Amino acid sequence: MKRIPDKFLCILTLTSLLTGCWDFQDINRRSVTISVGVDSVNNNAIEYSGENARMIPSQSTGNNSQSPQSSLGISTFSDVSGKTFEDARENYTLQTPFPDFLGAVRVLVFGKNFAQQGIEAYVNRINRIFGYRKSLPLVVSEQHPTEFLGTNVKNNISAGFSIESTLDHLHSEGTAVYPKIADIVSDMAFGNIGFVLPYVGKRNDSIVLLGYAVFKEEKMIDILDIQESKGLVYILGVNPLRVEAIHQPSKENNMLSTRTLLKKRKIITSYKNGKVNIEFKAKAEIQIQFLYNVEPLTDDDKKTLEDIITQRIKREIASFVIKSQKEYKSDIFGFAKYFRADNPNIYKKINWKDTYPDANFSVDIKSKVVNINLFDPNAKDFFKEQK
Amino acid sequence: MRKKKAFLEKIQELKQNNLGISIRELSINGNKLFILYVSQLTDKNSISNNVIKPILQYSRKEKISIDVLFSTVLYVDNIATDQDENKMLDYILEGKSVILMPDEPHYIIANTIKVEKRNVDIPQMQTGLKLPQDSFNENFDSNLSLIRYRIKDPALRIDNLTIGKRTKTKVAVIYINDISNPKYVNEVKKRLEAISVDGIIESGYIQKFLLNNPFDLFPEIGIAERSDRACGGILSGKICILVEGSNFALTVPETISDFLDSGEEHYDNIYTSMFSKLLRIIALVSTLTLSSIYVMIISYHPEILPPQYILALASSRISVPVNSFVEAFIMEMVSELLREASIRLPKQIGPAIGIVGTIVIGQAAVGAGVVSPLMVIIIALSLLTSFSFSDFTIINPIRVLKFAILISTGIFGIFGFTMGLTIITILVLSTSSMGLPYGAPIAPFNFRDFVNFFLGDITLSKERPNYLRTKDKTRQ
Amino acid sequence: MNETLTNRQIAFIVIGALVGDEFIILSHELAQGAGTGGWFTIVLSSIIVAISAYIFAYLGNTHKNQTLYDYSRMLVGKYITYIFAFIYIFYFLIFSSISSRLFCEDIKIFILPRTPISALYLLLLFAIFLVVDRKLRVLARLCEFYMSIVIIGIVIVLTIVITQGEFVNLRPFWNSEDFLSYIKASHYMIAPFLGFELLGCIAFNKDNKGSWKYAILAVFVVSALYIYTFETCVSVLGVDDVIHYKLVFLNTLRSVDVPYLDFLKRLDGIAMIFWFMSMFCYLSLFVYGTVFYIKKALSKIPYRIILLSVLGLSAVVFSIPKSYEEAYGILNAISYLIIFTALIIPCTLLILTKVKKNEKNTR
Repeated sequence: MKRIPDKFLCILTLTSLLTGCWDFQDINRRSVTISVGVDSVNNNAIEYSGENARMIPSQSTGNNSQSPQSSLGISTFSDVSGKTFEDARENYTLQTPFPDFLGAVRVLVFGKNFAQQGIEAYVNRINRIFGYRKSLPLVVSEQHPTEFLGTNVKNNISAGFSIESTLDHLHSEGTAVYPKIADIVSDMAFGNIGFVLPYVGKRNDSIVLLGYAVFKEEKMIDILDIQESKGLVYILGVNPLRVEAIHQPSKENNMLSTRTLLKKRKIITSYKNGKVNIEFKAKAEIQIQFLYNVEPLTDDDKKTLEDIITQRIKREIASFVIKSQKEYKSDIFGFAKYFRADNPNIYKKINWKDTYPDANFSVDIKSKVVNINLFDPNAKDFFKEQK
Repeated sequence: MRKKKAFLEKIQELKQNNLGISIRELSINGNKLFILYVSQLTDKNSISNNVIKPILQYSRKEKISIDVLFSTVLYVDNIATDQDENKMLDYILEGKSVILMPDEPHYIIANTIKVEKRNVDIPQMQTGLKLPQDSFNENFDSNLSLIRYRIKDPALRIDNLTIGKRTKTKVAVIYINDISNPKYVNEVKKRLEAISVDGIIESGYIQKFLLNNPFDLFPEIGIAERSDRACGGILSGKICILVEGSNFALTVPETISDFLDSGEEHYDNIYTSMFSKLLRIIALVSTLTLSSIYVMIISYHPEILPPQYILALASSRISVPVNSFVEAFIMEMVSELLREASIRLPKQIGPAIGIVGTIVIGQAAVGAGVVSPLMVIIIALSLLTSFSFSDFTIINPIRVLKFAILISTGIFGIFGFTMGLTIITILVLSTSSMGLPYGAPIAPFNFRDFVNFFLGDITLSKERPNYLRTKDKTRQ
Repeated sequence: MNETLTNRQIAFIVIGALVGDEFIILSHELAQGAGTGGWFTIVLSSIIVAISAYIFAYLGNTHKNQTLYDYSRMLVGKYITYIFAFIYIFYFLIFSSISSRLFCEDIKIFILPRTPISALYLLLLFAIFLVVDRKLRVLARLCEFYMSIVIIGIVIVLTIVITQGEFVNLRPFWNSEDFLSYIKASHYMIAPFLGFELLGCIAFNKDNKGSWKYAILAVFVVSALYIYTFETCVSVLGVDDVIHYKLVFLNTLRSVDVPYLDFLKRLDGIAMIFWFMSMFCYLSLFVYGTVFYIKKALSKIPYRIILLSVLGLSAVVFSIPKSYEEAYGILNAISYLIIFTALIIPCTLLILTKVKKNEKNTR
């Protein structure tokens, strides 16, 4: 009695299970998508474009090589359109030889038309389809996604790889903002706030970050140039960095190359007399990388340099925030999160969308020259001293 | 007169039955003496110098008798008398010499055994760098001496048993009386005494008889090829079983942590010990799961990996005609075949064929595009890691279970992989060695035993393993 | 039949019975009820659960070598004990079957879309049969081994993931105006904290003297794990988005790519393995609870027959709900039985035990 049920159950389980491996599909027999582009074309139809990895087996003819090689190529697909996402998707499926694999998608590109009409539906689609990763970056492209993703990029394998690598590198350096789908979905769920997406374009067969696309209520309302959007990076970026050459205060014809890191950033919110007060505080650590001409650097120079940089940062941040209040009337920085964290009861009572444009915003930056990159411009030259 | 006649008939019967018994007839002062022995099992020098010579040189006036021979004539060290006629043949076939006289009811049994045996050799299976190199051989006395010279405790007990109706194999149950738990000792002896079989050729037979259930997957009894490993076990509270004709001693009870111990760590640095144990655990898990993880990632969940790895994996498999499951299954079968073949290759050509075979097969398979390079690496790793265990019997069930997990992963992906591992864990945890839980000291968990297992340091492990429930708990 | 365990095994059984897949799904409902102050709800609920666990441990230690069925029979008589046993059987059976149904549905939707759930369930049943057939000792060893790996693993994963979150999402930690909501949200904590009634299936002996400490510690370890999971999910996704996902934790992991871990940067594979391990312990414990009480009530029938019948019955209950939402609804409805299984029955037995003790002392 003891042994029979064990064996019986084993056989029963095994035979019923061996009827098929239902989800078994080798990765080399799937269509690995690298990037996806979405745009809106005639009569609001959805058009998909993108890049797939193409694995080509090639028998090598050389005597030395003994293993079959395969080369990784990129093939683009385009002109796949439909009235809805599902229709477009179905048209795409009709032309692909293998099932789709979406886990390796590196970037999602929106065309300008589509961005202006609103990206909420598509972002929800990406969020809920388990094939996609939620750590996917989103960008808006200057050119139509088909043309943009079809670029033969000279310094990378494909446009998709190039966008992601560029953004990743700029983000870790501290000079760009790089939101992922998870961040956008979180902002959308919060409500009352806007967000920005990187705006990229093609320049001389390279992919370049041109600026940022501003979104209010999930629709694109403006495009900012990269030079105008430093304030944005100071507030939203991770380890924001500012690199700039400034005239040496005591020697006008000499330039100092500076590298400033914004640290210990705090956003403090309060509510007084019916008005929201937002204060942005940070510490700027300035490193003088090198002097164009080696001239002595006085303490006054350093002090003046600190003041100059403080003022510039304050101006850039303040002007950008005022623009978001007066022009866009949208909290693209997410100050609402801080306000709700500090004053949850007041937040429940007010309407943030109406209150934000009138909020008082102040910036407090404390700068300090922390080092001169292990260089001593004030060193005494022995022979020159003796003359 | 009748007695004498019956006696002579008995002698004739022994001569005629082609038993290979030699009979030497001596006559001293008119008294006849017969010496019966099997020449292949007898030390000819000993029987000539210690038995025949002193008898022939007997010149005293006293009448020669069995008692006189026993106490004053024979030079043999191990000598006894008996009067049971039925046992006489057993003694002769054992290799002892039987000396009898026609009118005497008693006969003398002299131990002049000499069998062909190997010298104490270096271990073949349980090797290491910093280890004693004396290993057991097939000779019972030689093995006993290897244990006796290490443990000189008066409490050391050697219970001798004879098992096998036709082979009459000597089996010794060795333990230290005031350490081992009498429950285990009695259980072992009870099971051994209950064995009723024609013959025991090797300790593997005894191993099977001692098991709770022949269908149990995991080895519940450890084997020791070296005497220091056997003695280490005895000092911990285990029971060692020596079987005549086998160069492997059995140690009982064993838990899975004992199979992960090569013995070398106890004689080496603490950090080396910890590192080696960790490596062995990784080796055990990787032997079991490497190919399944490969199938799982390639065919079910490539999104676990970062994108550049996914593309690299996909491009490495582009020319492979079969799917990953079939590829893994076939390569695992090939590696098992190679393993079996390499064990039995003659020593002169073995290594060469092994190297050429593996390189040729591996290279050719990749060159032909039949398997992907990554699969070959995984199979090679899986095969190599399975050799990192001193007691190789733990790997045998793993080799079989590897295929079960592969099938389960091939059908259900990561869920099948986890369920397969769970089923194996359940089988391990429900096995018991003589009533001792197999998973000790991990489950049921004992912190001190677990730490001692990892550190393997004699100065720090002051107490014997708790799960053996020894009488004497402290080592120091 | 009354098997005894070490204190550590008892603690891990409590952990295994409580956790299940709750660390995956807990934040979804709790954030709806309590927002960012969910940690307070968890702390509050864990205190109540710890008290109930203490009662079970106290009863077990007072009535040595007897399980709940045995001492209940002694205290309230045969027929009321049958009613108690029936409540536990029903409770454990429905929970194990419907939870397995939800588990298989989750796997199908999230990972294996084309695999039929009956195949998944069959594999699960086979493994559950193997472990429950070998009774409580082996089950306890499995829980001890598996849950320690799960807890250590989940804590490491959470620690890595929480570094990728934003601190501002966790605030405000406390808002006095929402105090009532925090308390009301405790009803979302019923499902995460049920299962420790399995303490009634364990017989305590003299070696289990301090077992109440271990039981309470187990409850607090589980609640610390829940708090950590909740805070991690909220910090990464934000409290407004956490409420949308049933399998919150896995969605949190899908949102995060940890750059410094290189090939391990996507952690959801590892978290899924932990999910399966803890869910397996949970389901096996509940099936064991069912079989245990049936065996106690109908002692003449062999254990294996009861086990096979229970698995058959589970398969039937498994197929009853027609949709995911229906199964979820059944589970939520049945979870209110905890009032009987964890409060009324043990408190009744406690009072009667105390009364009997007093009677003995006065005599």
